[in-house]
Amino acid sequence: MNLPSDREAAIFNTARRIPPGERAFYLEGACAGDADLRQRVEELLRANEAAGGFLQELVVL
Amino acid sequence: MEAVQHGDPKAAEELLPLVYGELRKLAAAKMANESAGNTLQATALVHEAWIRLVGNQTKQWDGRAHFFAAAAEAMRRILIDKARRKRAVRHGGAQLRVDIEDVDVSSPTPDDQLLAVDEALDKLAAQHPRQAELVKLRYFVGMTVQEAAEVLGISADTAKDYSAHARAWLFREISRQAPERRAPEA
Repeated sequence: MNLPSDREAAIFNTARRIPPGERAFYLEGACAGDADLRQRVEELLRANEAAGGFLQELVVL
Repeated sequence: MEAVQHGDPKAAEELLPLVYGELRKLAAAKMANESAGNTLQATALVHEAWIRLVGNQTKQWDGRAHFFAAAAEAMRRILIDKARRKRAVRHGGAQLRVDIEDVDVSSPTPDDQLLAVDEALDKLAAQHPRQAELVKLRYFVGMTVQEAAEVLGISADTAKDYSAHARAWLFREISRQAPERRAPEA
């Protein structure tokens, strides 16, 4: 089952593992013109960087 | 419980009050001395409730998944009710003037975080239901990523990815709601 919302999760999780300098290129292709999706993923990537100790229970090392 | 064992989804709804009742009883007995070990005690409570309700015959997978989904929701409600009561006591107490320098707004108390996550969680559930279920199992019940993955019927890798996505999503949402609560950016 591939809901649109899973696509956001999939792109986010791929992007967070890519070196920051290469992300734009990846997102360009993965988001395929969906500007709203791209913005959401970019916000999530920024949140991921800024989250610090928030919800450490969800972090798997 | 038999219906749940055989994977009847409606049985899970009917299960919730039963689970809730059992967890409340256990919570009243055990949470009296709780400190920061909220989630560890939550896991123990849920397992104990499982044993009491079903016995040791944890055979049917669907039954187990439905039980844990109901238990996670019940645990969430118990913890949130408790946090709200504590917050009401804090805020409703004597109207002391607080010197703002003494208040560390960048470090919310565990209860503050719990309440903020709870508010954001329903919104997350509307857009990403699997992630919300995962958060409930891991954050409110304290399951490991492996345990939660088994309950949800997904791989551990998928559960890890869902956890990362959910965490970023919740942090973004909570930061929007209360920007002064955001942890200082690194």
